[in-house]
Amino acid sequence: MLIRYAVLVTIFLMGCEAVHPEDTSLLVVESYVAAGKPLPPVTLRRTAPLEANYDLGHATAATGARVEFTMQDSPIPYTMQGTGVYAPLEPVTAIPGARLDLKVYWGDQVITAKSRIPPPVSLDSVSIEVSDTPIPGLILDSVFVDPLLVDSLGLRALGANAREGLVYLVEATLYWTDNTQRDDDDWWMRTQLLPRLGQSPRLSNFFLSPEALQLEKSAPFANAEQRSWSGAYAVQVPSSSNQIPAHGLRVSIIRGTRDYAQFVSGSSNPGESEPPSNVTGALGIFTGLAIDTLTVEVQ
Amino acid sequence: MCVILQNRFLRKYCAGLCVAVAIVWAISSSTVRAQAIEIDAVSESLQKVLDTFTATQRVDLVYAERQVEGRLVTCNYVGTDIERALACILENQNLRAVRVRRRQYVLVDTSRDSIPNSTEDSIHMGALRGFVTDATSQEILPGAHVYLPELAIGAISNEGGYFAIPALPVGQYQVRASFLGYSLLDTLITISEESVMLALERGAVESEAIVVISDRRDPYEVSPGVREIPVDLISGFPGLPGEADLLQSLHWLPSVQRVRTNQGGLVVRGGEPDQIQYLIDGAPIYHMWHVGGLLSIYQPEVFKDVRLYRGSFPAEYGGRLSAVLDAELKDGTQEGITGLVGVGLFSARLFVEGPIGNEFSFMMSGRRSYLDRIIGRKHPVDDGVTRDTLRTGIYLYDVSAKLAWRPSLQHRLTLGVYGSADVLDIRLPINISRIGESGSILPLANWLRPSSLVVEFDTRWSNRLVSARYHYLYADRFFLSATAYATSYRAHERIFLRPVATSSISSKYAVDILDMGVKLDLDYYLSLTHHVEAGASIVLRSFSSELEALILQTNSISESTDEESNFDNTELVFHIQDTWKPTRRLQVQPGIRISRLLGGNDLRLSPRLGVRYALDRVILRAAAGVNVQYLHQVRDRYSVLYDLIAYRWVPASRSVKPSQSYHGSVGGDLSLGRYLTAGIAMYIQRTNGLLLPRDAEQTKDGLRGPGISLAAILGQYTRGEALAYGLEGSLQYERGANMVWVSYAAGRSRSRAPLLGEENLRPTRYDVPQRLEIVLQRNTRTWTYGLTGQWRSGYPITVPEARYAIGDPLAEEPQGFLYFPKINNGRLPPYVNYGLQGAYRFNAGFVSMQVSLEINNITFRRNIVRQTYTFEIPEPVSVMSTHGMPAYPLLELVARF
Repeated sequence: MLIRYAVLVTIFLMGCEAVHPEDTSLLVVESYVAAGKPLPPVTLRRTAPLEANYDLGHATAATGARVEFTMQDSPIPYTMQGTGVYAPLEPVTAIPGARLDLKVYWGDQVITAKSRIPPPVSLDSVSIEVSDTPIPGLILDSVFVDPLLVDSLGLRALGANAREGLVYLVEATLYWTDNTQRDDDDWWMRTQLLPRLGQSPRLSNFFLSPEALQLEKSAPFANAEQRSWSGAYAVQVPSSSNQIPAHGLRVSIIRGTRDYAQFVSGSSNPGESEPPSNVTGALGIFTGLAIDTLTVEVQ
Repeated sequence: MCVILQNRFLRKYCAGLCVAVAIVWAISSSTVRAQAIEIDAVSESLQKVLDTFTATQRVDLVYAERQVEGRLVTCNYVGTDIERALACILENQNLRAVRVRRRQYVLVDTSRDSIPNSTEDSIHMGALRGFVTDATSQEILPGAHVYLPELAIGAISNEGGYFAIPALPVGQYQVRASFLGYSLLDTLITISEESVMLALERGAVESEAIVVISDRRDPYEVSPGVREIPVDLISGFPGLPGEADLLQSLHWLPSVQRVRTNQGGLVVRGGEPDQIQYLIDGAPIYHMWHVGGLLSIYQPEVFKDVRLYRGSFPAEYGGRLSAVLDAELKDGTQEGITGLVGVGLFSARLFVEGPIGNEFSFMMSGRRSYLDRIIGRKHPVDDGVTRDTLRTGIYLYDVSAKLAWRPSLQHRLTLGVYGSADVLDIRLPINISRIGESGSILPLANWLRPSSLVVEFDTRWSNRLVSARYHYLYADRFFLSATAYATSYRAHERIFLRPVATSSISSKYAVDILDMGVKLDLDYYLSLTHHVEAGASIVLRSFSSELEALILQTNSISESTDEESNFDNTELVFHIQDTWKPTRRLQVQPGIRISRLLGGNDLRLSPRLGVRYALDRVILRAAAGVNVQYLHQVRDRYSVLYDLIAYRWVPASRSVKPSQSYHGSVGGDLSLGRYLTAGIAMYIQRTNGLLLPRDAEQTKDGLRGPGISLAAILGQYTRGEALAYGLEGSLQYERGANMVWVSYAAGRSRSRAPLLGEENLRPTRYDVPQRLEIVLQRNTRTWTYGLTGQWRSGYPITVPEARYAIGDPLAEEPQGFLYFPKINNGRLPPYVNYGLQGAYRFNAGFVSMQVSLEINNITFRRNIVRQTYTFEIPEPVSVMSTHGMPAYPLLELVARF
């Protein structure tokens, strides 16, 4: 009997010894390859447990991976040059229209992704108009529109940190040249107005739409070559006698792939669903895009 | 039949069905192995010889004692033929044994025959036929059981209250009639040419008579899938929000689950709310719930008969996958003008019924909420400078009426109308500055004041139904029913928001559905063992939706939408079903339903088979069938501008296949003495062709949506399949004034969308592994009081398993995300609710009054109904729980006159 127990204990202890703590985390890939710009790094992170703090640094970085980056069938050597950051050994410019392939070997996993670099985009011009006087507007520090609450009048949604104030409306129209008409792919345009303000009336902005995502071919033509998009945002002021505070406005335009569009549209509710990933075997996004931003001063 | 079926599963199913039918047929029709019969009687008692013969030969012989008493018989027979042996025994007795069914005979006195030594064929045969009615109101009672205990044979009254048991030897029979909520009627009836009227007395509290409160007490039940609902009993059970409401109370049945959606709904056997067909007087109703599902449009007083068919329906029913709830409006009593007035916390109701002359009767009812009458619909708001109007037009109503004409027993014509509506007409001129200061929306005067900022909702939805039914007793064995109906559902949503003085959002959205149908049904009582039901119907459906929206961001930036979507659909259906009773214990009910959409090549065969086997105290049942649903309920999942209240229905077409389910169930009911009955059932249902959301977690959180075109809405869904299986049990104890009702259900409901890469089935949104409900009640002449308890597993939720962060070219910091690898991979904590109910009855003059009080959630349990997750990098993720309602009392006063 004693021997039997000894064998069982031995097996048990051996079993304990044999079991290594298993890392169940997933790899998260992030890389945006911008047309005409140097090839970007590929950032590899790991998912983390819910109950722990999430550290963007070393604790969640995925180290020890091997990255194979191919642009138009040409391999580009990538090595880890920071904690979880893998970059090309030498600067290489992203070629518009080029096909992209990514392979990441991490442990016994092989992660793959494909994409394409769109034609470059540039903001040809931006026109900005500011309302003459401040007007009443809803001020809400957070917006959450729940259909159930909307059905029951949404009073709870409105009741959170809501107040009425005065706002200036700033309207901006962006113009860019559509150089994709000979391209077979459908490209998506993400346009954004980002005012550099301390406070933002988010409820008003929810309705004013300072950001949009649409198929490029559905954006209206301003003239034979240029397409345009108009957006607006609100700037709150304490009283009707106040001038609009001078502030910087970053105007951005991104031409992206369908994968990027799905990623952006799927990112709006991070507490209830994760954005769709175009990376096989991991989370994240690996995509080509074209981007242009400029910052103007509004006053 | 099997050859033309293309679906592999269906082919297998059909093949199995064919084999099963063949086996049953073979077993029942095969000749019993010949058994040697030896009779050697010399001047022996006829009764004794017959007793010995029936015992040794296992033959049922029905006769009256007076027919055989004092008679002596001399017979010498050796052979194997039962009928010759009987002829030998009855020789010179002026009696003949007439075969009723296999190994079942009735002794007929041949001295009454005009032809001496008549053959069996010439013996006068008759039919027990007639109508079952309410003894007081003379309302016909569809679904009543008429039973001949001596022959162990019977019939169920059809929707016209008619029953027929043909091919019976003329004679006197003991007849038992029963109907849920009515006292048993035992009587002797001599078969003649005339139809009989079996008038049942409504069961009274503390009555000495046996009141039928369960369909299990009578061993005769036609359909294995049917569950007749004891309206009087169930409607006495508590139902939110304390108002008399039949649908609210149905969740006490083990197969029915009440679910909370913003439209309300029931779920039967792991299905979805849109998989139940609701019929009123044979016409479908699309939306049967008021105000976010708090209250249904079913008042119990209005209906005389409600039947719930689960899973395997009779062939007459179809068009939905899970269940059919068939409700019949009352015709109106012939007794005199009676009615009731009820006042609850939310609404008041009126019900009146009575005769108009000898041939007509009527019923009218109405219910309306009265909050808007108390607080008003429009309120001026004035801050001394400007004026505005606050609108609080929130109300609901439902009305019904029926006119019945019964010129004779052969004819009955009814015209029924039903209507219901909900209106949420709200305008809030808001100055919400004060809400933020006080942290509360009360008092309203703080923030409801003239303002350039406005929120307006005008949302209303309604049902309209007109149904004409004609019942015609063409001959003793032919009963015809014709139904013509028109039913409509309309939902209109209007929204106007002005969040900034120069910006506004306005939308008008409408959904309209119109159904027009004609049905013809035939009951043919072919023989004592075969009752054939056949019918055909055509229904024309029209669906339209319209959206006009204007998003005015600034004076120069705007976006408008003007879309409409219209489609029609015509469905032809033919069905036939035989109720076959080959032996006194066995009943087989094969049937088939054939449906076809005009304009499409989709011809669907839906075979059905039900088998019932009755023992003395146990009834065993099995059923299998195929159901087809040609309508998919869908909803835009993105925009807050439309589809807030309304759902849309998309009919099957060339591009949208119908959903189809294969259902099987077995079960049994057990009578454990006079007071206790128990039931158990197991079921399994596989469904394909479902439309599942592409993104199950997508919430309406944007202004713009993909639009209302068919492509736009279908783009949000993908094809899916589901599997539901489970076990249901119920126990009912009823003795005197005390009643105990226990229902338990255990089951799983899972689905998957293969096109989304889902390999494994995952729990559906209403998957509840276990549910237990108990009602303890005591009913006296003046008091009803009781305790209720509900326990069930929590609903599935999608819980994250990890977190991560990703940067964005336009963001300065990476955005945190939660990782949800599987849909519905978690579950809310169990839901528990205990309630108390009490009612006191008293008379005030000629009016009998009842005051009812219910208190729900008496333990103040904070049931969790929702969980959300909040997080900011680098903080840990925290869970926020939304709790259900605390304890709340509900009161109603009812006056009957």
